[in-house]
Amino acid sequence: MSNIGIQQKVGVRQNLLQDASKRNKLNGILPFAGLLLVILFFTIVTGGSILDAQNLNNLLHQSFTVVIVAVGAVFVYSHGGMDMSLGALQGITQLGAAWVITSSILPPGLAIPASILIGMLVGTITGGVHVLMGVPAFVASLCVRYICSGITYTVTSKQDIYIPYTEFTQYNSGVIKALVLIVVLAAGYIIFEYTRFGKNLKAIGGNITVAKQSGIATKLNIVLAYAIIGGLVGLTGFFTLTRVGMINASSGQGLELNILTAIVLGGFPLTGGSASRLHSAIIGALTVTVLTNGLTLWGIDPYIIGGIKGLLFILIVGVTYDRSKGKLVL
Amino acid sequence: MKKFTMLLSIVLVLMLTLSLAACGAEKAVEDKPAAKPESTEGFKEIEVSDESGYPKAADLPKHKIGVLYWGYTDLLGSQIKKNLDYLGKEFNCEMVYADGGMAIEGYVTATENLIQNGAEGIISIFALPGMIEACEKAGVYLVQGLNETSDEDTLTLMKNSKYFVGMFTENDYECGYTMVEDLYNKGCRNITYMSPTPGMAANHDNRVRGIEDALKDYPDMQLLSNYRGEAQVEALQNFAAVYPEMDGLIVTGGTQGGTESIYQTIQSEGLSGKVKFATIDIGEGTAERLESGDLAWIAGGQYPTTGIAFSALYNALVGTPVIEDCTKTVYRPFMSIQSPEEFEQYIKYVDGDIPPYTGDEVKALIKKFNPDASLDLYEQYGKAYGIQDVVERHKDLF
Repeated sequence: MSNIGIQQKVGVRQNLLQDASKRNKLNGILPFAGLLLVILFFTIVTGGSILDAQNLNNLLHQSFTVVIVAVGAVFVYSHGGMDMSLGALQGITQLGAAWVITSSILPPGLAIPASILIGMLVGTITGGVHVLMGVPAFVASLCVRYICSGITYTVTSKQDIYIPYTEFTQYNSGVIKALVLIVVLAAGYIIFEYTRFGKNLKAIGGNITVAKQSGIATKLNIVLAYAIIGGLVGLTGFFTLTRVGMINASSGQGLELNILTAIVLGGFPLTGGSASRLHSAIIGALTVTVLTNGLTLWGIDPYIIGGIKGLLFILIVGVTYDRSKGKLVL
Repeated sequence: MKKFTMLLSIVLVLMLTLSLAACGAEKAVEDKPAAKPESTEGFKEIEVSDESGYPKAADLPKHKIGVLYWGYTDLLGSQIKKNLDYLGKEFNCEMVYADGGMAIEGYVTATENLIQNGAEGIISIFALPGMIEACEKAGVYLVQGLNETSDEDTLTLMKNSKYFVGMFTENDYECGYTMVEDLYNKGCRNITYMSPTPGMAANHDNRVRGIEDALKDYPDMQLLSNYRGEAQVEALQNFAAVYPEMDGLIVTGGTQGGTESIYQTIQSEGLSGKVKFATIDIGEGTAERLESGDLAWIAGGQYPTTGIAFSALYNALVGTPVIEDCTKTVYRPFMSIQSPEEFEQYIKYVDGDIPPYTGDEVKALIKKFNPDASLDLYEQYGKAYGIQDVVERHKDLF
């Protein structure tokens, strides 16, 4: 091959790399820009009401669950997994916490660990069914969802379950929730970005066969990822219970869809892999919360809110979808 | 080019959405009034008569009221919105609507958002502890309409709250009981019943309790089977296959198209003429089923209860509260319909151009406008409520 031919090939390769780098930078900025635009837009249309102190407190409470579960979702989606049981799982973790709180034998303080443990246990079952029985994650989590829903329906069938709300109002404090958020975000960031476990999950998401051949215990890592998301769902289950004060058969419903929306809006790759970043999921979670809050503050009718959210969803996904790889990119 | 195509498609989607919205706003002049219930059009504006002495909307101070229900697109939801929009105009109130989403916790979030949006009072299907506290902190009045709360701790929270107004609902238990009783009186002895998943809706659960208790009081009426869930069409198909002796069917409600599906299934399974059907929530096809005799008993007309709840909220807002014990539910009856003639009257007087309670009739419940307004008057309104009551009060308005 002539020198000119080699130089041309190198030139083409460099151009492709530069294009890819630009595209990655742009796609990395877009979700941030999207969130800022959404905040700016609602600041204008609500006359600044969205950013007043009371509403910032509301946003903290309203984003608490979705941000914390999004941290857990990062571990699942980064390896190419999926969990459709999150809402039903949150329902039974709330049930477990309520049982401890209303029990005359156990101290109410055990409600938090009980809720987390139930979440981790169910998460482990989902992961276990997925990797040990070879059932696709979608199907395994769907089955677990039905089991969890069945338990919640059965227990709440006679009547809604209430907790002594006034005894738990301290858990609704913005300070406590902010502290919990900081701890979960920091721990999630360190574990996902800087530990072998986090890197293993990205490797599994990139190519599971190569990951296995590289000596990664893929099954163990996957099950652990589901246990983590389960534990975090359990944590939010307790706080949701103390925020609402009761459980019925609908408790937790739709959480998995909110998380999926957050993941996609944040530009997180649904197929997982090395491009997975924790901040993408957090940005997506905040965008979902601000959108819902802002549209209500703007006074938009609820049935139009759904349509607007759908249109924005198409717009954001349309802009951030990398067609060359057939997946969403950061 | 690709970006252009994408932008073009977004613009087209927007145009389609807007044009659909515009179509929805046009008046459907060709619909026959007796064919189906209509709830998308607003109610007629009725002039405040000089004799009434009640102030006109323009003379009243402006208030902002939040409304929080499961949704406003099904028949009952749209009736609630239509009625509250009408009362908003009559009382110079801006009505802001929100829904609770799929999960119960969504109602707390929606309450916070409504408060942030400037609502001075909220009418809601739920009064959860978290909602009561959010309203208490913000100094926003909360009234529960179309549902009630029986948990002791929550009742204490309500009692201690300065801003919880009260609870207004239909007597669901009594309605469940009446459905069994009516089928029994019409000769049914082998019945089945269906209701949504237990725990999903307290009002349906109360109706089921009424059904179960009535069955105990009529021991010669046999419950062949029951189904609690959402796949009611399939369940009815199974009942039809397994229980040929079935002569009565009760469904505790089907506001989101459920009643229509049951009508269709009764016909497709050959149950027409064999099984008498009793249910709640009026939908399309009701007139035909009453005519054919398949539909023995149907109840509806519950949406004005939210208007009654509105009046209690308004009383609290203007500083003349009339409900002393906010933990005591004010019950109202369902409006039962048993013949095509009654249904025709229902379409005209309850789901027609004029709501079952006009602005003046609701203003009569406001102590500031009518010094005689009291809990007794609320109870009188409830006791009298029925087709004939509305016909009697409104016959001169048509």
